[in-house]
Amino acid sequence: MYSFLSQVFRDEVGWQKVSDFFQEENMTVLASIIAQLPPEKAQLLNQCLSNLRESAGRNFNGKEKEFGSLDLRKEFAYLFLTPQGVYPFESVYLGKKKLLMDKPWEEVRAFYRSIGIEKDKSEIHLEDHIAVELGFMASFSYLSGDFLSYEGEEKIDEEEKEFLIQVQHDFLEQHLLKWAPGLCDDIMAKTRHPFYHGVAALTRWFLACDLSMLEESLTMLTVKAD
Amino acid sequence: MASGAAVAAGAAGNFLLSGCQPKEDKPAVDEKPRKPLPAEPEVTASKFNVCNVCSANCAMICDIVDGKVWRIRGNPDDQVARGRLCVKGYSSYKMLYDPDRIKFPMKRTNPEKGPGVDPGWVKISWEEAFELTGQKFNEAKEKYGPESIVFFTRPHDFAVRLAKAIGTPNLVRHLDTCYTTHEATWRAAVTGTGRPWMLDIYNAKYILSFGWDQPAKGKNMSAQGYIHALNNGARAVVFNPVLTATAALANEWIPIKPGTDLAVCLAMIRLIINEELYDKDFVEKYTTGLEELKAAVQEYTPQWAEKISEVPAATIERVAREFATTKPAIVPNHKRDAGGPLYFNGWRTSYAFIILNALVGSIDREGGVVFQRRSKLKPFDEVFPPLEFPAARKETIMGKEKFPIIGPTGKLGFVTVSEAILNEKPYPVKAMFVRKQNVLAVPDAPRFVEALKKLDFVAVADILPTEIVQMADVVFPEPHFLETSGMTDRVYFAFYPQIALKDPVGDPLYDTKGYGSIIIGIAKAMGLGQHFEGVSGTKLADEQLKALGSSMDELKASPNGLWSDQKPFKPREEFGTPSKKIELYSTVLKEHGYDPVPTWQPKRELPSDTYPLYLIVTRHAAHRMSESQNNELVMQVAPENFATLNKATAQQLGIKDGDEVMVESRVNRITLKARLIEGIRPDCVCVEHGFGHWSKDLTLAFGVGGNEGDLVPGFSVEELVAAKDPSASGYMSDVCVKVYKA
Ligand code: SF4
Repeated sequence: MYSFLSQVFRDEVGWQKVSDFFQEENMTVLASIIAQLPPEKAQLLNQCLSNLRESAGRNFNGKEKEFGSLDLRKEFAYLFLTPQGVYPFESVYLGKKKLLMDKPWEEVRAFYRSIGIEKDKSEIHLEDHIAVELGFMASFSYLSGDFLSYEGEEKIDEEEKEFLIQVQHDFLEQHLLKWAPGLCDDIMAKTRHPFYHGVAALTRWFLACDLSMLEESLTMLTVKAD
Repeated sequence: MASGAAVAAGAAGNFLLSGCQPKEDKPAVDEKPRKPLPAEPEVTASKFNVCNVCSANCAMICDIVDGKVWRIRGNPDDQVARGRLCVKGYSSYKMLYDPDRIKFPMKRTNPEKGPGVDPGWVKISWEEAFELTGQKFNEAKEKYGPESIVFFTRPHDFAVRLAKAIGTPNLVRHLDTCYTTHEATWRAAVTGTGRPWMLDIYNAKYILSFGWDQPAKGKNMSAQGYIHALNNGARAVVFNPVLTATAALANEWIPIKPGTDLAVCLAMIRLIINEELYDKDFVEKYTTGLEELKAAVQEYTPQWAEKISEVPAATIERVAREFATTKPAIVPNHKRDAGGPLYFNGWRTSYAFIILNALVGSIDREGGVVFQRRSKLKPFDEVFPPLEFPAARKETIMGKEKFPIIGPTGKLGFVTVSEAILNEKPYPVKAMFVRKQNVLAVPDAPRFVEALKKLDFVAVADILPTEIVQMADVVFPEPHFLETSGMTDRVYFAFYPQIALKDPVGDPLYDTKGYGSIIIGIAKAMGLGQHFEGVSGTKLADEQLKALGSSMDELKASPNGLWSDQKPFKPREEFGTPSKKIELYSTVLKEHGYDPVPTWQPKRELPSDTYPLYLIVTRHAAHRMSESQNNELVMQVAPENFATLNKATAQQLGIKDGDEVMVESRVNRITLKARLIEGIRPDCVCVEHGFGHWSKDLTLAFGVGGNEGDLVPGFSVEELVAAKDPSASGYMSDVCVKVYKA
């Protein structure tokens, strides 16, 4: 899920990619995760997903529709490349000056550094771009083997798992959840396209749900250790 | 206060001058105790760069803390900066971090264009941007001829080569709204080439300003020089309808009637010659035409000038005598002063400035107007010899060929561009390449928008999504200057050749390309890549430095980021005119059918019942043209522009401080907030340039203030030819307006 959302915020996506996301395999994993949520949260997340799926279904039927794609491309540029849309940077949302590379950006970098990582040179976006923050979560959720992108290649020991989950939890709590809900609200208010409306709604709810799930995982790991 | 009383007695339409008192005393400097500054963080790196906000190009040092610019300082060893910058330079890094910047190449999907129209941008790759531009330019070239493609840019070797390779003679420049009056007169009467850019205000003892207001406009070297000179005991007299900061710091402010400075200058020239107060050695050795000039100015008595300018004859006489007998004395000029392209008589006023400076021996002498000693940089065409270019049409849309003095410099076109496009004169224009220019800077900006709509294709290279970007079909995002590398020669204050290093402060924040690469990309896409074989900005800089006995590596290793060739100052003994002297009676002007001496000519528009106020245009010290209104820090200092009126005038008009008012000329009207002061002539309204942005993508600038350029009419080439003005200048303040509550 994080990986999908990161891609959607990073660059234009065609309906093919959106449709791929809704493949049965992904949906099964997602459903099993959603099933762990309290019923009202699960219902909201399911609603977001089905809206998004419907929007994709309306526009995609096996081959890329030129018109639909152009609409999505225009909407991506409007939302994320022009100032009339949103500024997908934590620095702009939380910084006093609404500029790039302000204090929140420094804090995001400090967070990455505190666990010994730096942004890759090939990454064109800044460290606090929503796509990079979601990408960070995608990598850690993959590593902790907790989510749908987990392919189960290696068994991770419990201590490492706790660390990885703790990192995700802290990053969500200290960073993403501090600003991404506001960003998603702005996208929902400004977008003229149901796809990005759906993505924003999904992101908003997914982040909140993920925090609950991470908290639960941490409690379980602590109980086990005891 | 003798001059003030006489001014008040003079006729000024229906307005009383009671609120407009000239000042004669320096204000005391208020030395308030300051709060201690917060502790400084540890600077992790310091990078040399060059401020690109204005053409002064002050050398700067960027202190970086953990990957981010924390502070910018002036380079102490740079002749221009002298360790300081102006507000625009200090705040320039805020634009680097502006989230409104253009992030990727984009193309328009909505064919409709204009204010308020959504261009329907989509992100495209650099390849697509080049291909689309190349294809559209080639289409225009094949169907309508290469001259149907216009470059609307500032000069740049790469762009000039591309224009030549395409075969278009149309490189439209903004300098007819900026300084062609100075360029044309210096070229004709003194240099044979261009104008000087250095004012040795630092060493001047008498500064006689006619609307020269660079210190108030924040020009670094002018502000520093002015303060230094005043502290050193220099006397400054400022003729200006508005009490600007330059006037406020001067010993004397004389609120002259707009557009009449020429009359005062002519009366002063007459007095200095008749009383033989001029520098006889200098005039004899380095000038010609004194007798012809003397004969031509005899009718311009101080009493005559008083009637025109409302400056008392006694003041004119006293100031002229002081000016001629205090050494060194200077009449400074830069761009839009009274000798700039503001009024119908701007070129004559500029010529009068030259004559005044020559009479007191202040041309290329300490404390005067000095020719910059630039580095002898190997020209681009020598570093990268050109292939043969196709023959371009002689006729240009700027009418270059019709202006024998300013035409060959190519420094014109802004004033006439809208009419040329709209009337398809002398032929249709179909495509345009734009860089570092904006709609708001063109006279009668709304008409220029109409002209842009007429074009089939517009490509724009820029940093911010300005108004002209909103009119583009393809947008190329450029880096902020702090993200660029290279070197820059010193021009605005170069007593000796000096070159400053540009070292980027970090990785580019967005998917940008430098201007040179953009030009080469377009050339290749047009099938003209052969003209740029092996060409690169890095190689150019390195080759140019090698020809001077240095290299980019050496410059990078320099402890102060500078290459200097410090030589003692040798005043110029010969000039670039046919007589090799400064011509007080210009044979060049005469040869081309212009008045060879600056005889009197009034400004074009005078107050009427319909438009009773003179429009005065100025620049805020913190703002750079229309480029800085999205800068968060600058906008804290100067958040909007105003219609500044004299309190007495406002009272007559029923306007209160802060009221929304309309300022209306014969071409357009704008809405602004009124600001009421006493330091402005009651027959004037003053507006700061740079505001009135309509691009919604400039979050801070959008909808703030008004663009005074909307009030200024543009002209056709034919109208400018008929004006018999060798500078082909726009008359950017030669406008009368009315002001009323919105
Ligand atoms: S005068 Fe100011 S804006 Fe111009 S180059 Fe110098 S610091 Fe920059």
